[in-house]
Amino acid sequence: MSGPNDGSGDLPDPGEVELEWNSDSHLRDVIDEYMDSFEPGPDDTAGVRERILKIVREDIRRGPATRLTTERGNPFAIADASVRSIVRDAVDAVDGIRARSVEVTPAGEPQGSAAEVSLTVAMRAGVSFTPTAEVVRTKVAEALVSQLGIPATTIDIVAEDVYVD
Amino acid sequence: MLTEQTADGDFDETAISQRLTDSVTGVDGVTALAPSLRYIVATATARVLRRSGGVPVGVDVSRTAGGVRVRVDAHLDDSRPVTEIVDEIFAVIEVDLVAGTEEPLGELEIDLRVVTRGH
Repeated sequence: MSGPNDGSGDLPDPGEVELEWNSDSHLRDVIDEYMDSFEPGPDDTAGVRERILKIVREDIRRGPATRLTTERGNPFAIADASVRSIVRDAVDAVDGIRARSVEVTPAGEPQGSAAEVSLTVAMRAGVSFTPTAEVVRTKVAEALVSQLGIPATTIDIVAEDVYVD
Repeated sequence: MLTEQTADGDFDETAISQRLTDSVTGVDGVTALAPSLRYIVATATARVLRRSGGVPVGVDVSRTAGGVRVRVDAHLDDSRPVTEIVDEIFAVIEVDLVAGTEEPLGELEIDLRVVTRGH
């Protein structure tokens, strides 16, 4: 969490539903509802809600996620790490290419029905960039459709390093 | 039948959450659900008060002014595309909520997050 009381944490889209759901106000409502359900004794209530809130804040922390939409229009979020892993595995499967940074951004209409991919790679010395980049694009596009179910609108590739086996 | 309503006709969010947890966990490709907010609160309360916690559930269901909100944090495997599993989760939730509910539910808002996607 970025602040002790705001409940927003390092969430990727602080203005969206997540913030509302994780807000202290909502958490207090849930805690009050739960506390009321078992009628705690007087000794149980003093400061208890704040201690519970502190624990809950820590436990509900969600990592950054990419917001996407299925073909049927169902919105969902998926952890950035999971999306990047799909792209990274596809890139690393190409001979002579190793993925460095990977960014996947929601795109398309409705928003999130497609994705823009930007990645940096390291190339083995002697590998021809242009044809290999096309192979990488094909592999990444296939992986996104077959594993995520989301097509790529653009796949930008920057070779930022050369390595020798 | 989904008739988890209390005697005075209130929408029993806890019972429906438990039922949806079972349904969503049964979707092919869903390996587990992260603990629901209510369960996290129950567990935190148990830790603070040194009492027993609640029954583990992975789906939060709550009434809103305009309808029903459902929140799910799911762990998936890689047996099929993520969007395919997501669509089935949405379908299961919609069917399960509507079936047997005697009153109109209003707008259904589903907040679904894929937490991990494993092998």
